[in-house]
Amino acid sequence: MSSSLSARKITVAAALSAIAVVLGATQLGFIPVPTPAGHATIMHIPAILGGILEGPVVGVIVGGIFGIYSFLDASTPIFKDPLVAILPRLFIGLFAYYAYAWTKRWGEVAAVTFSAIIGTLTNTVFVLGMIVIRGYLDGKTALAVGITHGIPEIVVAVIITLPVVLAWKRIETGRGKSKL
Amino acid sequence: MNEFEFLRRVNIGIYLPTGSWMHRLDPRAKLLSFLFLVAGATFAPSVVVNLLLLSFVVLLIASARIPLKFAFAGIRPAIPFLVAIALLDLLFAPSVASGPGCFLVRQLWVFSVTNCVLNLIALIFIRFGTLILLTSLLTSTTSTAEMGLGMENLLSPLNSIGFPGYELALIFSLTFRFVPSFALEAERLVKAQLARGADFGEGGRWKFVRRAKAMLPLMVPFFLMALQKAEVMALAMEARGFVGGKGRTHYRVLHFRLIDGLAIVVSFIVSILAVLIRL
Repeated sequence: MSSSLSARKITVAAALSAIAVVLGATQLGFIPVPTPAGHATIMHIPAILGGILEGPVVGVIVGGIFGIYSFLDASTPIFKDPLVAILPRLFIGLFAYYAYAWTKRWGEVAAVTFSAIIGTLTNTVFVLGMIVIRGYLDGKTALAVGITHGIPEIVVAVIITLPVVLAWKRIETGRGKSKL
Repeated sequence: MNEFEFLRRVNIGIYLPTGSWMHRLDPRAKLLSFLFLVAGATFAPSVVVNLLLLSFVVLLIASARIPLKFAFAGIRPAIPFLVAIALLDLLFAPSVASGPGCFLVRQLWVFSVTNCVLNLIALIFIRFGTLILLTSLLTSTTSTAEMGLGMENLLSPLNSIGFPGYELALIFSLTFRFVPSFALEAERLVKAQLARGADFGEGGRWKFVRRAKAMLPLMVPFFLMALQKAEVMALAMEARGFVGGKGRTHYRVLHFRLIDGLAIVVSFIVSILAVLIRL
């Protein structure tokens, strides 16, 4: 294989990206939370999963496609800036991968949880950071949004990522018993 | 029940074949021009220039025989957000838009209307309009098949330096291919769970933990289904001898014409001017 992307990495990257798109387009990706924006998003979770399951390259690609979709989808105007929509998202899968790889020795559950936390934090911090750098909002508002939004989003991300990864790994190893 | 019809919502812009000159452009030219113009609109600092850019794009849309109402369709859901951003910026005017030459036009209650903030808000609105129209222009004049082919061609020179250009373009194409079938699957899953008495609306805003957990019977099967489909497809690709993009030839070949080159050059010049001119 002359390339770093095997057939499996290609199809998994595409499948996860497609999930991100479907979650966004059908509003399934939005969980209502008591914050000013109204909902926390789970659309970044496929990027986290890409990093955990297939490595940094796939994580970056899925994050990128998620970013491109949020750029093309017009409903939230602040994402009409590609530097806000796409650039920060590239790091979600990347950092999720490293978080997972570095904490793996403490067990699968810990590693996946930490990875989901880092991935979501990356999304929140980098996107809001870019918004401030581009001058759309000031630092204090961004910080407030980040905290009120970020915490529920992290919790939701862990709740969803953990069972998916564990279920998938169980299917892969063929074991029928639950480890939880 | 309409809220569960997912398939028709997964449209990143609808392809509208009107047979105009733009539809017949090489997709590579359209993609590159789109990228240049987006960069121009994103980095152009002055309101006047952005306005000119917007008018330029409107002209393009008209020449492509795309109805303007259609192109602007995506703006309506965004209006509340635009208003919110405008209000927030007005509220925090000093920290968002400051510098020499900024003076207070009026103080309305807690909103400080300075000329700089007005400039910023105008910039945001106009830039937003331009980018939406550009996106509509691209998606309504280029079918997804064409886009995939164009991307593949554009990224292929990178293959020789080790960057997986072909594979990247393939991922895009596969994503297009997966989206409708995943939307259908999601619809099926939601309806199946509802028929079993699952409640996705339970808990309201404050009990979001419970609500997130309630999404699991949908999310876990959805992700697993997608990953399994990916595995099967990878197996199918390998069984047919897929070895990556190096040296691969194509059935459908794109032909570059003079007008494609012109389109790219014009877009490039327009975007450079937009970024550099400070009217």
